[in-house]
Amino acid sequence: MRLTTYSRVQIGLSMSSSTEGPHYSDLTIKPFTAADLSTVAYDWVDRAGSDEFEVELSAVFEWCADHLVPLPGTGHAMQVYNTKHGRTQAILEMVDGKMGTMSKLLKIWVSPEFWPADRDPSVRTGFKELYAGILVNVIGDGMSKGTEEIRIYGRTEALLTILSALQSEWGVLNSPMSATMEGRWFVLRK
Amino acid sequence: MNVQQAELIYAVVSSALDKLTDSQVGEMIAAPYADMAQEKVPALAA
Repeated sequence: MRLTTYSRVQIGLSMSSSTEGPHYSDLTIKPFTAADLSTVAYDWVDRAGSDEFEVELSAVFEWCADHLVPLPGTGHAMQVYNTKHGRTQAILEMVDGKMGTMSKLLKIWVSPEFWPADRDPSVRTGFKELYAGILVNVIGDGMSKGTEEIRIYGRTEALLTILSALQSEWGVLNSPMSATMEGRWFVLRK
Repeated sequence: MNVQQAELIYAVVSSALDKLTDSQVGEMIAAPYADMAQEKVPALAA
């Protein structure tokens, strides 16, 4: 997939450079169509604005193109779509179990608009809102579907810390699901 | 999940995110991209 040969104007995307974070209720997690993926790829490459990121982005979008269809036990791509801003702000690698018994979140790729979050306080706020919103929606979607087990992988020490904090506070929620940490996994189980 | 539960999850995660250092945030953003790029290198070399 060639990602750098189209400009944002050619594909009719907004020129907005806002990094405003979403409220979690503005986010929806949904599958990609091939057309969605192409639109998001051009938008993200354009927002990245630097050739040095092309390898990283193209690898992600090539993987997504090969993993659009959820198959039990296999990783597939899902988009985190901001309904208020009308664009995809993150991509997830998820794995579903057979008959909806289990749902795993493995990776979160955030849009390049959030890449400066480690050095720009205004972007940091948006990143925080996005990341927290993603976790709320992943857990909420799993619970509303009646999934027996929801797993979120703590890829980094920071994410592991966040998931551990969530596990510690889980009892306050009065949820029918119990929360445990199993290695690097945050696990909710009926 | 009801609204109160959603708000509580959001608050806990937000609070934990507030405590992260700049480098931890940078790692959270970069790590998934780095994983995918590393997976691509052997495929390119093959």
